[in-house]
Amino acid sequence: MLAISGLFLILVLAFAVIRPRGLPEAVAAVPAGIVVVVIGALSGHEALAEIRRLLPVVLFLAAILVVGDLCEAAGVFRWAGELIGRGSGGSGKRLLLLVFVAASIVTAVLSLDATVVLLTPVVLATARTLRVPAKPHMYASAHLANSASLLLPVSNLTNLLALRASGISFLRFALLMVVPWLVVIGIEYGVLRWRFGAELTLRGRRVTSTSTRLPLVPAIVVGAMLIGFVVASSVGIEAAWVAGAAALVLAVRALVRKEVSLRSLGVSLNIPFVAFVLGLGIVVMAVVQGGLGSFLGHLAPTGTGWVSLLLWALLAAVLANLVNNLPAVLLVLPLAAAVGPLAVLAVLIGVNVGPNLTYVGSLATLLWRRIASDHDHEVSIGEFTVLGLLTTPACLVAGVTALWVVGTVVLGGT
Amino acid sequence: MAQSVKRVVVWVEPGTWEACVTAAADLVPGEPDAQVLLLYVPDDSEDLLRDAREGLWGRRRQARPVAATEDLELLADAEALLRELVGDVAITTQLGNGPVERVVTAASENADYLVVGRQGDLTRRGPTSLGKHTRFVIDHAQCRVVIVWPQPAPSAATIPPLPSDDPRR
Repeated sequence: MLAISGLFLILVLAFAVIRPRGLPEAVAAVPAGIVVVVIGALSGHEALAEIRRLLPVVLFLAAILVVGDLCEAAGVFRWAGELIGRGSGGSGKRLLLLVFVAASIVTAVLSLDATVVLLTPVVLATARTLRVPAKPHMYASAHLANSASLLLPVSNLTNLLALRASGISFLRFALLMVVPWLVVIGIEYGVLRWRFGAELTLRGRRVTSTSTRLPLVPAIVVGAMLIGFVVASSVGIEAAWVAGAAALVLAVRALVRKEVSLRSLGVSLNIPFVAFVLGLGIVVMAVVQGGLGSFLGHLAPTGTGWVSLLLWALLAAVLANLVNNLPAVLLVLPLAAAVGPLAVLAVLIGVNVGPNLTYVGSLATLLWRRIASDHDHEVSIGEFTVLGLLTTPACLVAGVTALWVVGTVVLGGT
Repeated sequence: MAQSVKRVVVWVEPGTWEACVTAAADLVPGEPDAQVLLLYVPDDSEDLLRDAREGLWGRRRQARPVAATEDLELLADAEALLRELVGDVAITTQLGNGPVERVVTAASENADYLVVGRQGDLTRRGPTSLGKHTRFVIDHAQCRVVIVWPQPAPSAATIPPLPSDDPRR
């Protein structure tokens, strides 16, 4: 049975990497999820339990993505781009610092998707407008989308999955992760400043335009949403309700102001992605219960000492780099959750920071692109990989060390 | 007698373009047949943007070029500056595509001059002030190359001294 569900998992992952005819990943994942239940690799009862476990998490993500898109439609990112452009005064070094601040905040609050899809294009346009080399700032934004997604449960889909598995509160998650988050961002900043020292000395022009003002309502709604997460977590309400309420308020306002259409809201909501995560979750569960779980259990460390935490992070980072961080976290989470919250958080450092090693998030995608793509990306891949090698191992070790210090020394074992 | 200048290629880049255009303006006065090509090859940041989205499973959306307007504006400003400095000269602008150092080298084939800016470490007169793409272009160009400091050159004191074990000391 393990062989059959393993084969289905490989098919689902291969489909997601290759995406024949640009079809959504759910096209393979949903039927595969149904088949593993029909053939009895996972009981219907267990499959339903897995769906019940994953559904609030993916609905949360769907709502956060809608909030991000509506912030964009309201001009929040345009405002941020102008603010950092003006603040830089045409200096590449100042711009890099401001991009770090913006990307760290956007990733932490609105998730890494918002940084990749909404902030990074604004960073590129800003660098070009200022007429400074765009590369350092692009790499900063791309790296921070991963490595700055440690702070809050909402910063990354992997965190949302882990929060439920670890059983800790929203606030406790943030307390344990704030120091690792800052340490990792600090390392990224140091390495990028050093690596791009030359490019950053070139001066651009000053931009003084102040045409865009901070859209107040979206800013207030997002602020209220953050407070809502903390409150909801303490009284046991699903955070998805809070994110959903924020998305609803912004959606109604944007529809009334004709900033978005119902159709584009539907695209933002991204139901195929929700279906994909559920299908993938069921197939992974079948594989884990079929025997892979006990196999990985032999590899996985048992304690929560410094070395064990480091091994958890390494195992997670390796898996995330092989295929993608989503299946990696689904595979490792049940094992880490059995050990304790610190092991879960170490796994998160691995799956969140780890993907910066490879240019497009995983070796599988990279290999497929080399087979399928006809353009020459050698330069970018080489440059990105060197940067990944310079930052990722250091970020993993320092991030885990910070987590260990905060978790065992300061907060006394959690 | 100086050879007449017919074709000048200016490598336009963010950060160095004003100095390069100004240097080109010094080459062409009194040359009735002179033609200046302003060439800008944007880096592959747009590719990076697209590839970063590929890493997000299930969440890709159509990416459109985000900096196309800014790229054309840079060329237009370079043209306007050259026009202001030399008046009537034949100017063409080109937005290149591909590995920047090779596109620039190819475009300068059979030119009289290629004007390039230093894109490296500009804080000292060091071995790395050129930047790797500029170094490639200078190494491989077939025509005369004019190398420009984009901002005032640092003092000669920033040149490293002769090593202590150098026999010529």
